[in-house]
Amino acid sequence: MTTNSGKIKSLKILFSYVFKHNTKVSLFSLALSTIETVASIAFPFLIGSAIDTFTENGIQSSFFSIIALMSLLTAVSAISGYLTSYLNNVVGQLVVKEIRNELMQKLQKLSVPYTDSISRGDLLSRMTNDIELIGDGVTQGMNQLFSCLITIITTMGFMFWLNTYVALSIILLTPFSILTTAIIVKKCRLTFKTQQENLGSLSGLTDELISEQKLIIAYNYDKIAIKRFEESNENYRKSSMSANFFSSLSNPITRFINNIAYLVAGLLGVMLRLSVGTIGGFLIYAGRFARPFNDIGNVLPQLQTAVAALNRAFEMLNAPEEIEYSETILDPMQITSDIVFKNVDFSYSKEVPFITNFNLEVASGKKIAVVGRTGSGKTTLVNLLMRFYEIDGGSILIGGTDIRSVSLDSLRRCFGMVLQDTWIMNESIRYNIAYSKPTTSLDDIIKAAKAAQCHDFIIQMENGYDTILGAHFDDLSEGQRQLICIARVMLEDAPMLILDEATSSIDTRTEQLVGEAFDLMTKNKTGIVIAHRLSTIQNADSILVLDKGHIVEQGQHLELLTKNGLYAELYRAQFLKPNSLADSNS
Amino acid sequence: MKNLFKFLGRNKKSAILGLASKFIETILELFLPLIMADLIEKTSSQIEIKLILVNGFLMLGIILINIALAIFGQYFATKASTSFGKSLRDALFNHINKLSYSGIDNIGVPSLITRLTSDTSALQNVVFMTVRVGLRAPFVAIGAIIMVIIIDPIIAPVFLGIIALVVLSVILLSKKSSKIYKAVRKKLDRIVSVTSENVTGVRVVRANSRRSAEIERFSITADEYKKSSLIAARFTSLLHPISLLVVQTGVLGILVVAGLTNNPSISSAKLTAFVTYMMQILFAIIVLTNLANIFVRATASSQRINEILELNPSPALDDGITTIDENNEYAIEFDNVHFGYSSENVLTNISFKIKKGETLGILGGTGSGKTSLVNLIPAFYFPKKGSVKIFGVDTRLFNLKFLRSFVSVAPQKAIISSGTVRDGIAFGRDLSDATILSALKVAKASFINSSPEGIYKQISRDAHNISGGQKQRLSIARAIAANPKILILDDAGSALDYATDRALSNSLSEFYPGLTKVLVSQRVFAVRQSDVIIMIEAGTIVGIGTHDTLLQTCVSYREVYTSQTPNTDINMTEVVQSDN
Repeated sequence: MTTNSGKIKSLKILFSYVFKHNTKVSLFSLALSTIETVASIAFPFLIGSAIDTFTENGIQSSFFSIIALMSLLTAVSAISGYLTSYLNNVVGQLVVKEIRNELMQKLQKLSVPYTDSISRGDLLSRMTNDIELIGDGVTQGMNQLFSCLITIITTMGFMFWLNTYVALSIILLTPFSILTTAIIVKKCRLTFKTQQENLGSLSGLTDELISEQKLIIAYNYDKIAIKRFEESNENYRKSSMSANFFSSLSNPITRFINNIAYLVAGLLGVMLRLSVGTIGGFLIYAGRFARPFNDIGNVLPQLQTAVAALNRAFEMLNAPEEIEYSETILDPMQITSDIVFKNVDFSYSKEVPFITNFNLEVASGKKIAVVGRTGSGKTTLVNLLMRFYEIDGGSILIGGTDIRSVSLDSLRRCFGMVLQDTWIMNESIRYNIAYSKPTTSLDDIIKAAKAAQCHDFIIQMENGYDTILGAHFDDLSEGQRQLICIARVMLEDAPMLILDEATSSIDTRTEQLVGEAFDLMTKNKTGIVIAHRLSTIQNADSILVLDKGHIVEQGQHLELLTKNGLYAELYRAQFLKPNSLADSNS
Repeated sequence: MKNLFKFLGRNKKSAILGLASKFIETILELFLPLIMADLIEKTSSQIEIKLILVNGFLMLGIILINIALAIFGQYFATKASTSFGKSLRDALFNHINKLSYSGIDNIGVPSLITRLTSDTSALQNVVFMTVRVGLRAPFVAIGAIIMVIIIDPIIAPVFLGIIALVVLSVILLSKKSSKIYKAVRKKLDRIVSVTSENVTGVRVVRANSRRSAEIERFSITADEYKKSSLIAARFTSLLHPISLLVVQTGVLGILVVAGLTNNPSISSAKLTAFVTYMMQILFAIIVLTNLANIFVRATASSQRINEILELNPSPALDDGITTIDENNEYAIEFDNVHFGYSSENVLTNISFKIKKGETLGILGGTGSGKTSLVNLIPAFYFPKKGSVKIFGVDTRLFNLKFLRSFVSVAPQKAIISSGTVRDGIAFGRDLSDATILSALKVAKASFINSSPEGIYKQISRDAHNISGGQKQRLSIARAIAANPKILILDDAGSALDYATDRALSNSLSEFYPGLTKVLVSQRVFAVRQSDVIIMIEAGTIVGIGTHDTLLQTCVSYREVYTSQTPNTDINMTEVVQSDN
């Protein structure tokens, strides 16, 4: 919830996006808006004049000059009306595009701890749904606010020109218009908020129940599911009824005030013995009098929503970023790919120490298998090595260089990373595999795909390597996706590798293929492997056994087994159940 | 879309009251310009106080009745539209709960959710906007036309011609706009897609040093969306100007014609009334245009909703056999079963028999058909050929609710909904606390007792506060809580380590000795102890027997077993010996 001063600040920020960043277009649009508004208000005024001229003098040149002027005004209204509406869309879209790009740029700089801590769905919503609301707010705001103000001022101006007394009596109705609009807007804000909350609950419940629909069938839970749904649905209906009823009152009330103004104008005009044309003009103005107030009332909630969305966007823009300590480039080809952890300290939270005084040396070309229970620190090592999280104390060195003394990008280029969760883009298979080096030739891509055991299923697909992988990922099985991720890393050919072998969702045959691909990929490279496969452990140069952030055992397979400690215990579990060690995140 | 409006029919009274009120108040309001014109005419030469007062009060009366009716009408109209929305959603949800697995597969869970929330909202919006502004508009237009014809039958045709022109251009514009609108939505989907990739792939993007590349890629996407939106804006911006242009030209035309013909029957006052009616029609047309846009979007939604309603409900949920003979020789029999979700079969020639109290182990890789096989047991699907018999009765003859009350499934993905642990285990069934606690104990899930609230502990929305292994044990507890006769564990122990898994297995045997178990896994160790093991590959049984039999007779089984165990048995012996 933003404070009032926060809301005003956001309105100012919104204005600056519109006027400071897009000055020319905005001002041009406002100028055209003024022209259009004045022209369309002048038209009824001239209808009155035309009728009067005609009544008094019959058809004469003065009559036709009025008609000519009205024709000109019509043309001007139409053209400027079109342009201003289009330009308002342009401004809206420019503002949206600018904010969108700003948010995406910020996303790339956000600190990983921050992105881990927030809901992904929420972040996505801020970058998509909320932006739409900002755009709509800007366009509608520009369409309505300014023109309504001009309309009110111009209308009053013309009415006074026609006749002071009648004009005054109509303007006396203005406070009523403002008051009723304000009351309705306020009531609406509350009822709409409740409606949105109830809709949120209903959507949440729907999501929960339908996601479990097969389970509901299996357990005959349907009667209860229906009861729960109907209750939530009824709550939503009630709040929807309130919200919509109040908001729908604005129209009848506007028309009521219009009609009163119409009545007043007509009666007074008659009693004051004004000309027919004048009365006619007044009737037209009076009949539209309350409309601008109503339109402003309608656009205010939209602006409120846009401002709220802008606030959410700015929350993201103010979030913590990764810190670049140096711009020195590290060339992966030039370094000796050995890794050293020296007295490293790290905790996820200050109160609970996790990794303390951690020391490890991995010589170039050697492979370390890391094992341990959930939460023992395996994934943390990866986070620290890649500087997704920063260490609290000590240092980590690659080829003798402190990882904080080089740029983040160049550090990360030294590592190829295969994680538990696969990541595929809505692009061609080629693009996905050659992600790190987009200019790679198709031949080299095929080489990598062959090495990663995915070439065979790729050429069986309709468009082969040019097949676009869809947003729903139905086209590939989980195992196939994993193979493509491996192909990607193989193509990258970084000197050091970080692998998380959790492949519980792949069947045995594919797993064998994945295993062979892993082996080929890790040849001659320094590797830190979160191990799940028996062969990895048995063939590793060294096995690291972690428990609660500390190395409790280290050595080779046989020597550790004979110690009959934690490793032996885990090994026995692993021998019969290779995936027991990793319980998703650790 | 029309058939969906039957849901509106359930709120007939409100709808009719709303409609009637709006109709009356619209007609009433149309008299105002007429009365005013009459008054102006009659007082143009001299003021008659009496006339002014009478007409004045008459008009005031109309105005007051008008707003009263308008508010009254809005109330009932809103009631009708919100009740429509509720009825539609309730009916849709009820129908979804009657669907079988195939029905759900047909549409897919994510789409079902979208249709139930987003699409119903679109329809409710149509009804609401129609009721709120759309009903007036045609009445106004028709009424205004009638008024004009009454006033002057000669000018009337000009009037009608002008209106026809405006309506035509608006219809053409709307059609063009909706085509372009679809293209804009596609571009928006792309933006969401790229954004979503970047949000989930924070680590991968950085690991590949592709931050600037992603910014660039996104910028192109954003730009394309902007261009597409502005093309649409070119057309939508035309709407008001064109209406304005045509109507104002019409007014000019009337003025000129009136001037030239110097028709004495058209008084200036009447001319003013003309113009007023003309403006009202203009506004009405603009309103109808906006409504037309909403309608277009809603048509797609109504199609999607109808697709669900047209799906056939699951057969025989409540009809069928409701008793079983537990002394029947076999608990589960598959006789030459063939099955597929579409024309292609995923299971062919499956035959086996399991006695009561035995354990069946099903071993196979991803896509081998093992889950499809076990789904036939609680009759989530039926075989195309052959039969599945439970305690001697074909699944097609059962009352399905009854069948599923004694055949329990703990599925692959352990779904635990939010709420208390107790709610999650009971899952709507009437079970005592004692029953629940005992189920938890057998499922080796007594860790729940270590938290202060015990079984009343709240589970958070995405079940973040319990681990994968714990979730699986709760899922198993739920499956056994109502004392089933047949228990299916579909890879339900994948997150458990060996020790826990063995303990669970022993626990089940101890507390539920007569329970017939079906274990599905990719791991040999999980099915090794079963009385009957079936190895399944590409939908067919490649081996059936005990572990030892299969090691000797089935090559595939031997291969899988070898790949899942260490190379040298010597190591194994050493380990075992060091236990002593």
